[in-house]
Amino acid sequence: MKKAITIILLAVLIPALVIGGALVFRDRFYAWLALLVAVLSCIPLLYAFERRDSTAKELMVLAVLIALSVIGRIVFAAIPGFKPVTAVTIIVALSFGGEAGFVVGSLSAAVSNFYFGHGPWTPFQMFAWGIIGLLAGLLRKPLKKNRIALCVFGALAGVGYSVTMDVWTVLWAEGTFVLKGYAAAIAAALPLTAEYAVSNVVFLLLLTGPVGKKLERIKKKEGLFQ
Amino acid sequence: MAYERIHPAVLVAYVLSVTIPAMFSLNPVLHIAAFSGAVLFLILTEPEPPKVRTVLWLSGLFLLVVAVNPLFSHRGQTELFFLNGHAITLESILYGVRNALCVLSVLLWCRIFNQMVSSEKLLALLGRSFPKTALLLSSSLRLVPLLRNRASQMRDTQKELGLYGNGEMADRITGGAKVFSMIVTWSLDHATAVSSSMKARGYGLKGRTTYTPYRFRKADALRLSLILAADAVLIGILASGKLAFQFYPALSMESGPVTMFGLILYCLLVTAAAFTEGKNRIQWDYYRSKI
Amino acid sequence: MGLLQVENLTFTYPDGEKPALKNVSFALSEGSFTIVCGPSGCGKSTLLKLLKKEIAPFGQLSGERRYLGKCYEETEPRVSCSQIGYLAQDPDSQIVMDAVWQELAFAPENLGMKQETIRSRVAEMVAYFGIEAWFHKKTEQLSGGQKQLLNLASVMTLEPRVLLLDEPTAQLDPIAAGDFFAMIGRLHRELGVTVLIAEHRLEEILPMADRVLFLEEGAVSYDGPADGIGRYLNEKNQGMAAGLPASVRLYGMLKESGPAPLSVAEGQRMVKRYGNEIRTVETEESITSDKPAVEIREAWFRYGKKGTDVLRDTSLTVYEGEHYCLLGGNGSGKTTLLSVICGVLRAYAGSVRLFGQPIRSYRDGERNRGVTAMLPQDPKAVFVCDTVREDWELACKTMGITGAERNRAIEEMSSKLGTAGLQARHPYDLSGGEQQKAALGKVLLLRPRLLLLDEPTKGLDAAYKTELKRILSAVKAEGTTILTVTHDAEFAAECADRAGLFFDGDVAVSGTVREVFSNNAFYTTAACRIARGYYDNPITCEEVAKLCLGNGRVTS
Repeated sequence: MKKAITIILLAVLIPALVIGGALVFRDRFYAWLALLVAVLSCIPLLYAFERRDSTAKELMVLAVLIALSVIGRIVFAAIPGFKPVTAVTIIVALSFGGEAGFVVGSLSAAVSNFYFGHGPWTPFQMFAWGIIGLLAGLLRKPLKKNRIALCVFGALAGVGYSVTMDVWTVLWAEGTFVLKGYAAAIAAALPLTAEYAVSNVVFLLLLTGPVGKKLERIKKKEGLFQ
Repeated sequence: MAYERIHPAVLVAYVLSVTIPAMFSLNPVLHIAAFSGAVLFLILTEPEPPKVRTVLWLSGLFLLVVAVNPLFSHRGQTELFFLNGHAITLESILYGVRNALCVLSVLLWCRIFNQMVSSEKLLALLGRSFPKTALLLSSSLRLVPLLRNRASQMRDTQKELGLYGNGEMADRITGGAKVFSMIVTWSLDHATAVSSSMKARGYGLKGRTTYTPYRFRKADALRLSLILAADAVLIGILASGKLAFQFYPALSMESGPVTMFGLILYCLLVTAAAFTEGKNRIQWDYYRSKI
Repeated sequence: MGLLQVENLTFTYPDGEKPALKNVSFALSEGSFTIVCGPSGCGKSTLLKLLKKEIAPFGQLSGERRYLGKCYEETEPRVSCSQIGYLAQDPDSQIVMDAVWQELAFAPENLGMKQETIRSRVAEMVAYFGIEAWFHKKTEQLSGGQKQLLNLASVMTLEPRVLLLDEPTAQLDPIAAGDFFAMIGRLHRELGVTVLIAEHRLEEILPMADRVLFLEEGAVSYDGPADGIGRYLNEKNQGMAAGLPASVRLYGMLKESGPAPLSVAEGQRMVKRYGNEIRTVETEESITSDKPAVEIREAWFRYGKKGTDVLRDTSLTVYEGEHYCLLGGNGSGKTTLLSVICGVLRAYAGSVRLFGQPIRSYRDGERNRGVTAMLPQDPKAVFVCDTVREDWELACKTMGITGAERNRAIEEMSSKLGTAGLQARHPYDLSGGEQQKAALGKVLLLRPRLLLLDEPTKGLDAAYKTELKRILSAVKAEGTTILTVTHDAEFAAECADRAGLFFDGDVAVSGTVREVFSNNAFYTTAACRIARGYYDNPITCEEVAKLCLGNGRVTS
């Protein structure tokens, strides 16, 4: 019964939010839509995680990895574009799967923002890092085998993250999809995007070996995330 | 602070009610109101004036956003001067100002949000529908200072034991990598130990409930209803287009009773927080003077 | 019928060569207070974990465990979980949540209790434990002692009838340990909680206990009243007898009969049965150099510009070749002082000299090669490799020793410390005492002229403490100067030459060990407190015994 109500509620609520946004916000509709997409994609995935049977050990391992990526973000805060969060998320996804990757990615954004400050950017960071984790999990097999593929994925993930954040910034500040303005914003952010891509590759190269090995060992020894 | 006595759900609803119209509407009056309300609240609640660095950063951001728009958008009828063959118009500059005000007011309200709604309050709200996520978030928050301390202890000990050699870059990097690797091992061991403690106290049994120390009182219900009512009315007015604002080709705004009502309603909403804090302080000082 | 019954419990770990527990049988009656003790590795930790179903280790198990008559395997999860509580050694690794109130609500939430019930349980715990002052804090802001009390409170929210405590104060300083034991005592007396506690620190809990179980190599070799353990250990296991409270040891040395005195007060009564014409023990001249190894004059230090000063006009002199023990309360700044001496932290005023040279004249790398080396409070921080051997090799590399010479150095150190079997193992897999020795080995391989030790006896059992004393006297004999920061007055009394009490940012009292302890009324060895007012200068049990026997008995 509860499930049916939830489904009906969602089926009504989501279109209402979309259409309502269009009517109410007119010019700013695309920004509103982007926000909705970010928020509404995180919710079902986190909900699936809630439903899943997790052992105390699995939860604590995830908590520790989230804490480590948050500390990484704090330590490198002074250097823009140098964030180990993407790399840690990908490594987690490679060993523990896409769902674990999503959880570590999105919750690293949430937790680190308790230190850096929450804002409308939070859902987008959660969305971006979460999806990177999810995708890395789906592509586990080829990424684990091939170092180069992993680096390419890391670079693209960096670009993807940067673009997502840029899209949001432009939409919010400028409102509409003025293509020229958007292209200019992307161009201005190019050095930052490049930094994201490069830092991801650097962190992946440094960390995948040692950290990945430890994750595999604990996965086997304790039988986690099967 | 007065907001400590208000249920977190009300606080969240309030901040969303203020920031969403500010973020997504084009009317600069709304932005000015939001900005002023935020500043008023911060004056009443922050113990110290803002740091010079913060003010400089915010001003810089303001100017940047103002400048960006006229460089790319050349609409508007009042041409001021030409740059690179494109017209820089008054309207597009003012639109840039609006953008900047919007960004700044939202940033200030985010700061207020971070102040009023602590991590514990947010997690208590999440706890009902997403208990596992709330647990994970709380555990991660607990681990961040713990792991940082461990890492710096280990780094200091290793420095003393000569791991970092004479301080050359290569030694520092390999040393740092070794310490990091050990911290990961230590953390995973720690995770195992904590999960043991969790199981010893019954984690994993079916039917886990979530406790929240924040009670939803009648006053909270009243506040929430007022906020939601105000939201409903504002949404209606926004949808009707009576709060629209045109920048191009020339500045123009709707007028009339509905528009005025909508603006006044929003102003009331935006200053409600500051008003509550101010009233609280006056009452406090008044009662103190009576003793 | 007992509350908890264990019958012929035998348990072997999956990769164990011999059983960790052999045919252990005993019963706990409701409201009893039982201590289980024994040398490291005797199986007491395994026993306690097996009695807590939820965390029982895997392995070969035979025998019965019963709670309220029912077999463990048949007991409902909710019953075994809430009625039997378990607490481990490390305060940090039992805390799950970010805020204190969340941690207190954690266990009742797991059991599916309702909002109001949880609220009242948490309120009760806060009131009973006196937690109001830090209820609204984050868990990581608490001190070690507070964290362990929080863990205890968290377990008590489920209102267990049995408390299994596995060396709960091993990581705590004496004051925090005292507070913790006091709380356990209250829970036992006021609520009738049945307590089974594994401990090395018997001084405070032996008077509280009804019964003691002594385990050796997995088997129960003593199961009887608390005051009988003294005679048993003095006869059968001298090594462990060193861990007994001073009164009990004295009782054994004086070959007294009847029930053993368990507290200092009872010990004082016992001593008064002997004469006190001879009041002083002869003291030998200790030959130490007069060249200072460490000379600190009026040093000041604080963390951060706006912090309070941790070192305030601190002055300290440690002479070459001596062993100096610095005592003092927790958080008084002793560890900070060590960090300043080894150069990790810098005093912003005053002077610090090592072996006659100002500390800043030593370049970074120079200082850790052969001048100073520190063993930190947590030996784990010393290791960065996957085996002990690799870490030791790293130390040799820092000293520039390679090849055959390196192997020889490692062999020598290994036999000196008795760590042969530990070389190939991962440092985190070792027991507390083994980790301590392995860490000390790495530090000593740096051939320091000045060895700094931060709380080296934390969590060690009596046998390991004796080992440590032996190693340190060997190190001292080679000419190394030793500076130890410790809470352990007994340890200081037995192996230090000089001692000091750190207070309010400075060394308040300093002198020979005998002077300092004889003059202190509170911060001194138990033996000294037993003899206070009756004899003048004994500081160890052996010395008190010598005086008693020298004077002869006067009353029977």
